[in-house]
Amino acid sequence: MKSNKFLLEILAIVLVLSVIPALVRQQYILHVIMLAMIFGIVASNWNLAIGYGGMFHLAQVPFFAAGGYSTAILSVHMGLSPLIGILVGGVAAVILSLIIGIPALRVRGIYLVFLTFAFHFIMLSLVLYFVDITGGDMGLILEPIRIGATNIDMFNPVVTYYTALSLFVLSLVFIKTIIDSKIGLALVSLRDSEVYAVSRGINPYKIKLVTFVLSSFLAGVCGAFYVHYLRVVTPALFDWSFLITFLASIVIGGVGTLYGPLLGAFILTFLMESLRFLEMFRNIVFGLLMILILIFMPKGLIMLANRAQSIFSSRQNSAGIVDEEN
Amino acid sequence: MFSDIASAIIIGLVLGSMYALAAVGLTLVWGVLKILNFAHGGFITLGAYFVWVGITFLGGNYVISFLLVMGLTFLLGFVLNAGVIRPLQGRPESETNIFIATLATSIIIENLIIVGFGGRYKSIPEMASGSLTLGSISINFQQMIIMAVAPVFLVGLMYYLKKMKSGMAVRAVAQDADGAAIVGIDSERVYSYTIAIGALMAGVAGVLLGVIFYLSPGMGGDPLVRALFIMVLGGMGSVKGTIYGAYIIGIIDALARYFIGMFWASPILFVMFILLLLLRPQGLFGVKV
Repeated sequence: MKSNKFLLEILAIVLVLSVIPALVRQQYILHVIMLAMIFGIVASNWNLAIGYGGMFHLAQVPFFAAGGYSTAILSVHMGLSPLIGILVGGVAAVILSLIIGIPALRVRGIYLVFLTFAFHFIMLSLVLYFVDITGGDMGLILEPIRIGATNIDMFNPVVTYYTALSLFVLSLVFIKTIIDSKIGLALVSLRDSEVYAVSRGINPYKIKLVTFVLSSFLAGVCGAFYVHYLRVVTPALFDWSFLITFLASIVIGGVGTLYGPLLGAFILTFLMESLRFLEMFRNIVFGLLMILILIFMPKGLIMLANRAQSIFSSRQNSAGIVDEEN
Repeated sequence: MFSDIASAIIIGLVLGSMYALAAVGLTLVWGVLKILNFAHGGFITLGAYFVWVGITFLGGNYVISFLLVMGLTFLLGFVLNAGVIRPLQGRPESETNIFIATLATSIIIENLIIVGFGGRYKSIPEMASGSLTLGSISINFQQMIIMAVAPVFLVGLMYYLKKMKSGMAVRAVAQDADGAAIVGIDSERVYSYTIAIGALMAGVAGVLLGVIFYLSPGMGGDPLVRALFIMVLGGMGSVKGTIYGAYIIGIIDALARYFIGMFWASPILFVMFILLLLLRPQGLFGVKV
């Protein structure tokens, strides 16, 4: 019953998102939707740790950047194909997540924030230091990839759009599977009552580490995809703006919900793009809006959607009782 | 060799003075409100730009410009509390929300500075020129002024917290907000004072930073990160520990810059930060967590 509902939701999302390129001819809008999907994936995987696991960490941007840099370095210096490169990005993020996670997940709360914060800066320093490999401040430029001997660019808008969509769906199924699995159950029980969970034989360190590592993989994949799409990688990948976008997607959409971060990412990406006319003032207005949203919509937009849905479905049942739960 | 070490230590004391000012505000706010104010770096930047504006447009008077910085950052601290922090406090997820909101505030500040003054580097004219030479070691007057100004503010803050009535109220709320409420302390008021004092300290730190380094819209980021390290080293929330921690980090920073290289100072500090967090998260003076 439950999984049937999820299947329907996935189908609806796939249907809507896959017909958009046929209806909307403007490449710009496709570009924005694609960015939203990519940012949504990174945010919702981060949400696995923050929302479901209750471990607030700042390593998601380093994961994203690790994916981007690893694939860019291998493809520029060794001519690695982007198809493998995207997978390599995920693997790089997983390796990084083990390096960070094994020591860092022993501490909690504000100390975990600090630890991951320090790793962020160490990675940035390394990228800036090894100029020969990473291109330093200037970054690296990736060559367009042709399919075979043809002149068709492998990263043409339609192909990239559907690649992003497949990653989007993959991520949804991936997260849903984890949440419904024993790991997800253990994770949520640790978040809600660690003492009880431990008394039932759950090893908190192991479960947290597994989640941390799992949630890094698609962030790395997205980093790699993003870099191939832009055809350039620079230290801007470590920007605060990424951190804010991902984190705010989670909070605005709804912490600890499946669709919240995705919704948040779409809203934020479109908001950011629609504020382009403000030019220099864009970031100022964006910052102000962010604070206002946090103050006036603390529970996230997904709660509004849930409420609307519950009113709608209770009317349909015609039971006469409005479900006040949500 | 001896003179190298001595000069590095002098630079370390100068850096330590600035870091101490940058970190005490952060620590104080953490100790009282249990929040991490990421707008703190933005206030450091504001302090530097305000003093630059004062000196450039008000006829080069350092004293008036300095007072201007103190007044403005103090007032803006109240604005920060009323507009950003207070509305989010005490709610579910407030930790995450305040983190994002104060980060957003620092982005707003940075971009306001870009809009207002442009992104180019600026520099504040020298406060005092010349230097004092003792054998092979020389200290310039600017560095001496910084080493003298910082303790005045730090001791002032300690005096305020220990002896003055509203300072005692701050400490009372930090120790036990409920207990403080019972004896009639308005914790909301204390919160806003604390944030304003923290902002003022950040502003003063910004002035001193602006005097020796260049001004740029993102200049507050680096001292903020070091302030986080210092805050943990001093034992989260301990003002005294933070001051000791700041001078220790300042000297380590200067020695690393001097003997290993400008570039490596930051990564070395970060590695030390990670080791500190893993091995002794309670810091030098904090209680065990």
